[in-house]
Amino acid sequence: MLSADGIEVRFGAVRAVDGVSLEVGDGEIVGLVGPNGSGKTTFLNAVCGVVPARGRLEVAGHPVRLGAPRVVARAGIGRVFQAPQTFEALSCIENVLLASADARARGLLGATVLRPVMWRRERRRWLEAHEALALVGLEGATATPAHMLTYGERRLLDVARAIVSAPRVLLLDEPSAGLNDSETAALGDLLLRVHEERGVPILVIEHKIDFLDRLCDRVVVLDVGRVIATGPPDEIWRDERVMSAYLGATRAEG
Amino acid sequence: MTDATTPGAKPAPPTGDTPAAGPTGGGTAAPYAKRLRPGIYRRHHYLAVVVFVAATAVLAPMFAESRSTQFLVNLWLVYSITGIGFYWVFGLAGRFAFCQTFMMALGGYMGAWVAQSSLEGGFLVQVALAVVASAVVATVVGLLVRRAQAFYFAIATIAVAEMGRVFFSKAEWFTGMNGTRTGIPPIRLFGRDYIAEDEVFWIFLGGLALVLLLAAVIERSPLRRDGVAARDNALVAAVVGVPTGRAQLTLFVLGSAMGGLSGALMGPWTGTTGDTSFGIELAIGIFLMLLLGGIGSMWGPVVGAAFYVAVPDLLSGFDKYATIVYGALLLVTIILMPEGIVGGLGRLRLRLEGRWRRIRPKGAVDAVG
Repeated sequence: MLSADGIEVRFGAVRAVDGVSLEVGDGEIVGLVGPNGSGKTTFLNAVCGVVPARGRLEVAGHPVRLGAPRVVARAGIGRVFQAPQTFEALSCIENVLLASADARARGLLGATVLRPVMWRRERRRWLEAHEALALVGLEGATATPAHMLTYGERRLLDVARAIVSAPRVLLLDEPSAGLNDSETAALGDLLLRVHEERGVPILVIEHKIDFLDRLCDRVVVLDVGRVIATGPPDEIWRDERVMSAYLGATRAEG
Repeated sequence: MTDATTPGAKPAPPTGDTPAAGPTGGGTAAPYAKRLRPGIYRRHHYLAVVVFVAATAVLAPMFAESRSTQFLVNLWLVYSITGIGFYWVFGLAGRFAFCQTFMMALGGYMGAWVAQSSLEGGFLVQVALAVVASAVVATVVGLLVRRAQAFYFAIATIAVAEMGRVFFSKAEWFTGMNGTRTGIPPIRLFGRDYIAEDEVFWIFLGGLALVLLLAAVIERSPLRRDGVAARDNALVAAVVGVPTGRAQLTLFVLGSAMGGLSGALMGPWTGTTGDTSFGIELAIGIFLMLLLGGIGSMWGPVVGAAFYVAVPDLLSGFDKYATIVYGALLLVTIILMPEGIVGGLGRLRLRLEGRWRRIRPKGAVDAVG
């Protein structure tokens, strides 16, 4: 579904992502792990067009231009950031509506001369947004201003916003960061539910091993901007290269 | 966009009041969707516009006994128009634009030129061409600096305003001798002239009513939330799929066009249009109107413009201390009501209604554990 080929990101002389190729197939949940600074988030940023990058990107077999966030979003990539990125001046449902895939009657014409069309579209968008909010368990908070949500709720709102446009693939950056164990477990349930109900393939950056074991079919390990291993979670944790990348070479050997 | 095309069309509310089905339960979508509409659509924008215009129509003539008071009332109305435009540019789209006064000057000169050149266009033609001219210039400027964010945009628009000033001082065929056009014919509409202050009042009130209606339809549209998202975090908004550039450009062009409109209204009113009426003082004044009135509401600039026009006049009794008292009053207002007068009143109302407690969602926290 998502196919990234030779993605490369340079910050000056530093190759933060050094030719990473990665695929996320239909119905798959793939974990992306690696030590701090290994280029995981930068890879996601490159895919989303947030940082300039080279390489090739395909979504559902169609090439997607790198470096244009909105083009990437339109191509069907939903992104959840590490720190919740809610628009605090808007209500929860408005936050979700921003990501609606239906862009018709959304500008000046929709606001003025095409108002009947705009209303028809809006009503449909409200329904979609409400469904997404219900899926993450925020249906009681549609009218709530986003600045009144807790940290955990904001993360859920971000997930709702990412899935409302029926993305072809969902990218999550450490979704469990800042959550306690029970919250993390509930989030795992939620992601599995999203995966099953919506059939969305997921690529997730994560540090918590239990979480990855439970969710992922496959784990890709990055170190210093390169893929060093890929495979099912239980194999990956035993892989020597992975252990030395995480723990340092001597420790892994001894 | 001209006034004439401003639709007063009410949104057609979905009919029926029985929630037929849940979001996944099938059934007709429309009645259910109505219950889900975001809070902004539940506000009574059109009613507020009607009440405001009616109240102004009744109260202003009673209040404005003298010619000078009526002048101030009219000034308030035109400043409100440019202020609402600036609300779209700065309040909604978050663009630090310093070229609103340039747009006013452009509109003023354009209107005067249309009236006094061989075109001899009538009042509506003057206004329409002034609006179009400022919209076109704003589109070009907006496209050229579309990638500039925050203060870079501010600097770019200051440069545009400066270039405009130089152009206005050189192009005497357009701006008149020494950049001042005089003898602009008075407003002539529907076969009669509007010369006296209390006659001009009705034209300006009509203009403001149309602009308020346009503001109301924009408030009640997806364009508003796209602009707000682009304003608050353009990068995340783009990743999410919001057409950030388009929303910001649209609001900038629309707001600038309102600057052009107010400029074109001022020429036939005062009989002259000169660069001096649109200097840096007014540029800061427009910011002030928005900050004082409240940046979070379309009514902010209307209230702010009233403050900006009325307070210095009311303080004239303080004589040489008037400026100091005015400054102190500004400070006190901004400290006591950081969200502006309208924002402060809104917060007060919420507190009185005890809404803060009621809109806190119950049960939403359970979802994460």
